[in-house]
Parts: sequence; C-alpha cells; structure tokens
Amino acid sequence: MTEEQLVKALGRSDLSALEALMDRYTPYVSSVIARILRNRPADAEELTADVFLAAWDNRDKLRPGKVKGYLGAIARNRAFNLLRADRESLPLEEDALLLETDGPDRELDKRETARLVNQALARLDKPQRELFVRHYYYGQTMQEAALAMGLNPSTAKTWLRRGRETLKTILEQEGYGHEAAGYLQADG
Amino acid sequence: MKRLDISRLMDEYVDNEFFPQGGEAADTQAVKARVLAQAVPAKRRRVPLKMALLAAALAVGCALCVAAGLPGIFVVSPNGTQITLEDGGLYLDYTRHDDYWLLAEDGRFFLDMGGERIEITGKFDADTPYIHTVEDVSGITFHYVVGGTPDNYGFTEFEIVPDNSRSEVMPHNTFVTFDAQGRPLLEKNMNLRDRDGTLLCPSTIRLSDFDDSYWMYPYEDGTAVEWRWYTAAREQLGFNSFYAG
Repeated sequence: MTEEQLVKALGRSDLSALEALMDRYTPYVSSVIARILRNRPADAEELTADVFLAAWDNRDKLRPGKVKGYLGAIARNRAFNLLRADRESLPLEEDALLLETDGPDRELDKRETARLVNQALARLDKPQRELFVRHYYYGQTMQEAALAMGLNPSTAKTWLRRGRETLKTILEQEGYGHEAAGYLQADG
Repeated sequence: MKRLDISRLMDEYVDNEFFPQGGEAADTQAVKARVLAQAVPAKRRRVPLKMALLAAALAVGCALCVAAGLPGIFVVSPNGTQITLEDGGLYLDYTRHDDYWLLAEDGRFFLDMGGERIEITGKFDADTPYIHTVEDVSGITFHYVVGGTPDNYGFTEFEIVPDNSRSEVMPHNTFVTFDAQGRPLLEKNMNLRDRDGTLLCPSTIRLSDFDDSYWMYPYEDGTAVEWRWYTAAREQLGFNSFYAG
C-alpha cells in the first residue's frame, strides 16, 4: 500500500490502515521516544501507542509524504512533555535564536521551517549534523552526545555553536531577521 | 526581536539519517494491541446475502472454533471483509472499498495508483501475472500483482520494507488474495504454517486479535486450487515459497 493509499484508507476510518500505519512507523516513532526518554521502556511503549491514537484521532490531517514527520513531531512533543511533567528540564544548550526583525513579522509555516532546517543541517558536515540532531532533536545533553560520539566537550560546544550560527544565517538570508551588532551570544 | 526556539524548529525535521529506527524500540504488536483496543472503527455494512457462499465455506472451520468456545473477529481480506463469531452464530460484515487499487470496468482493467490510472487490459492471463512495482516516499517497495482471466481474476500485493524484514503478503494478517468470486487463492497441496513453523490444519481458522496471524480454509469440497499466475508472480519476484507440503 502506498502512502497515498494508506492516508486515503485512514481517512475512511479503516482500522486495517491503522494497523498498516503502525507496522510501518512503530520502529521510527518508538525509536524517537526511546532516545528522548532513555531507560524508560514502559513509558516508551505507552507513549508510542499514544502517538498512533493521536494520529488516528487526527487522521483527516494526515498528508501523503508528511506522515513520518507528523508522527515524529507528536512523538517528540509527548516525550518532552513527559520529561517536563516529571520535572526533568530539557538540558539544551542555548535553545533560543533571537532575530532582530526589521520588517513585518514573517511567520514560518511548517513547510518553510522544514526547508530551512534541512538547508542549515545540510551545510554542516555529518558529525556536526549528528551532534546537532542528538542535542536539539533528541534532547541529549551536550555531554551525553559528546560522549556517545567520542568528542571532546569543547569540540562539541564549538560544533553546536556553528550549527546555531548556520541556522541563524539561513533564517536571516531568507528574510526572517538580520544580525544585530553585538547580538551573537557569547559561549557560556 | 523575534525569538525562535531551535528545539521547536526541529519539530519539522525527520531523522532518516542517524537513528531512523533501532535503539529501545517498542514491540509493534504490543503497541498495536493497545491502540486497537481504543481506536473506534468505521461503521460496517452487513451484506449477508451476497457473501452467503463465502460464509458457508467458512462454516466448517468456524464450527471448530465455536465448539471450542472461542469468540473472535477475523479480518480476512484486504477489502475489509470481516467475519465475526457471536454466540455460536456466524456473521459476515462486508466493508467494500469501492476505490481499491484494481478497477474492473466493462471488461477493462486498470490500476489506480493514487491518481495515476494504468490500463492493464490484456496484460495478464491465467498463467502470466501483471506486476506493477512502486517505491513510495518511505522507501517501501510494493509489487501489485494481477492475474487470471477477465471472468476469473485475482489480485494481491507484496510489501518489501527496506530491511527486508517482510517480503510476503500472507504473513501480514490483513492481506489475503481473493479472486473475483471472493474465493481465497491457495497453492495446490499447500499447508499453512504459523511463525513457529507449526503446521495448521486446513480446516482451522486461527484467531486474530488484530495481530499477525495466518489462516486458510478449504473450498466447499475441501480441495485447494493452484493459481498459476500467483505462483509465477512469486517466482518472478524471487520469493521463496512460504509453504511446505
């Protein structure tokens, strides 16, 4: 069944399509959740099921070619919400990009965001991209990600900064802000 | 000053490169059990008269399950035919998907590939399958197979996932090949085995809790029929026969 057919069948509330959806994407969804939650397999299974129930409840919103991203986004949000509920803070290194806008405020839609994020990541070499994904997508601490990749923490810090700067440059080139003098955050 | 959180921007990222699957992945069957216990299905139409013959063919096998006191719902066909045992009775709910991928119109045949219509009239017969192969955006390869005669045709599909963990339609419980008359396609002298290799009696219907299951049932006279185009398709696609005996 192609994704087009799958989405169509889900739209008809076809339970066999829901089964097919789970067969196809449970490894990915559960992997995303497990990497964020770490050492909580029972929670991972329950959250994985929640993701598919959410997709089922919102099956009219599914679009061919976007299903994996949609499921991944729900999975991340559910996992991070669980961590926050357990009072675990997200140990992200300088999560905020502050852009000084000099024109009408442009809102990023999902497609545009995906394009810009992928464009920025493509400019990083693979190890830097992996570090960025481990930290900002999966929520691994910089120390954990550095250890997993065999990196010196200082190197990891530099690489993450480079990733942030690249993303910021891309956004600014696309007109989402400009680099204000003195804005660039110093490494903490 | 506009603030954008990188972690939120990354909501639109899809990891196809580093950790697309693996790690402490949840058990798919356990997830499915949880979800299907809560998901509300579509309302189904009952068409008992049209499918009476099919129901009769199942009666022998179903009687064994009924006698054993085993209730169950069996999803038995890709077009949603569902057989329910309730209180010793047999009910057949037939959910028809009018826009399934094989279309037969006035003796002509078409594949409906999500907007692309491919005419395949005259491109298959009782010995020769027509196979249409597609790889979709998720990397899964689909082989759509049609064979038979205009008056007695059948169809099935095979899914090949990227890690080759699934290469046979039959093990996926919702896909069973039917002909135009609703009869299942069985290889001659075929016996069905479950995932452990246990031989299943031809008259046994395996219960399904919406997990992977295997089943077969005999024709009215208890014999199986070989569908040569189906066998040829499996050989052409390089699939080892799942069946022994």
